[in-house]
Amino acid sequence: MTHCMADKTRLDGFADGTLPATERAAVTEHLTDCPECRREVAELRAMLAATRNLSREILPARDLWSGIEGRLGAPAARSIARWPGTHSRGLRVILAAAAALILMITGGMLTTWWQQRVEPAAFASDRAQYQEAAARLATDLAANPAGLSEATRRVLDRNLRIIDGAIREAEEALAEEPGNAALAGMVLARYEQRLELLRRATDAGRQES
Amino acid sequence: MPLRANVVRSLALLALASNSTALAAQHAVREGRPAERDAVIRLSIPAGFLRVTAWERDSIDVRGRLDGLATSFLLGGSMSSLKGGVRTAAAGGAAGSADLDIHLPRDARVRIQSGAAEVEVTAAGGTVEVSGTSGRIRIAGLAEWITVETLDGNIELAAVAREGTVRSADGTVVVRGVLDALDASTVNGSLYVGMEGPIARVRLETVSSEIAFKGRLTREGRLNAETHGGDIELRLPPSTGASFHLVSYGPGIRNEMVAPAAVRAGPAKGEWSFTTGDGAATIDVRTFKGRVVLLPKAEE
Repeated sequence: MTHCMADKTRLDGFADGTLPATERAAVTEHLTDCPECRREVAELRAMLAATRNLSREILPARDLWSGIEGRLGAPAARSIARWPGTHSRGLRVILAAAAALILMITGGMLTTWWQQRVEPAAFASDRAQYQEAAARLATDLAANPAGLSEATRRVLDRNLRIIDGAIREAEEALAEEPGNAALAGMVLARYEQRLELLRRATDAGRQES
Repeated sequence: MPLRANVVRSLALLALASNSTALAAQHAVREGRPAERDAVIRLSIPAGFLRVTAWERDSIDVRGRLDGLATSFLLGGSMSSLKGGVRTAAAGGAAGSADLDIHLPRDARVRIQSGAAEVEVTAAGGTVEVSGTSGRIRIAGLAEWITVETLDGNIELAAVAREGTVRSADGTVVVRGVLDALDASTVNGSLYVGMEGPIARVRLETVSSEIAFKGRLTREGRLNAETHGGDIELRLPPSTGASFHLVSYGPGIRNEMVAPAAVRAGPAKGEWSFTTGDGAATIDVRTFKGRVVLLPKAEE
């Protein structure tokens, strides 16, 4: 399969209306002949429409995942716009949601750490959201086995095992000291790294396919 | 003896033949285009070696060679936004390799997808973004910000920049230079950071390896360092005014920086805290199985 080699960065400006008029005409002309770029623009506009009415601030609410796809914030949207690649829109949303989740839970986690206390319900909720987000990315990777080379998959599996081992050890220690805020923070930090690793592996799969 | 001579002759011919096949499969690359000084330039190379250097001309220049399945190097776009990439013969198949030397305008905003290639960038004022899967990545020079993400490659930054963001899984990360902010993370690779100027924000994180930081924070700077399985060593000037929170769930701390009497244990197991000077900066360090080591760094 061949991909259009046109300058895709101009599509961002075209989609959000910031492209200078002199360049806009050229893009318009290109779009008449290029279904790939037309699809790209349509996806970008859909994403812009989905994010346009969002608050500029995302508070670390506790029911994040259920509504996260509709509440993507500026940082996640920016990362999408920087790399208009060959992702399906569904995968883009998952990746953006994973990034937004990391930002939001990290904020909550740091607060917990500073307050030197653990709120069991909040901790369980944060952990569940990380697990769900990671499961979604892992499902996407599994559904596209040709996306990662064998060597990259070995690296991914090895590092996931390392993280999972660390999670297991920290969880066991936390079970013995359930009020230890530092331990709770360590557990969530490992889940965050797991999610971040899967996100990068998904990006790597895009490069390798 | 004749048999041996024949074998030697056959091997020599075979080597010559395979070498000439390899030479025949190579393609020279020589491309050039005018480009604005701060153009957005996107480059992709699946494997091989890529050297990118900023220069004082308003143009992009590409030289090198393509090997194996790499069929061409395409360069297109406008003066403000260009895209160049290695094309391979079989989509989704084995990657073609390239050895490229690219010059860019000094303030170019360069984004590189490097796959398994080794990358060296010498920046002079723009921004640098590299995303790869394996292969060593080295960034040097002056940049507004630098972002490097890879899975299996070592990363080295030796730069003056406002922000540096570095992610690897298996690779070792080494950062030197002058930065306002640094965010570096690995899973199974060590992090070695030596700052040559004050830094405002540092976040260092790994899972199974060690972290070493040597440098000075700004007055209200913030340093977070965390690992699960390794030691964390901080070398800070004794004059540092900071609020310290240290966690070593395993072997504890080794403190050669402040008076032992100032260090308070608790509230939970493996935690220590203390304040030095005016306490304006914040230092949070956590390791599950490793030791936290505090050492004095010579004052500048």
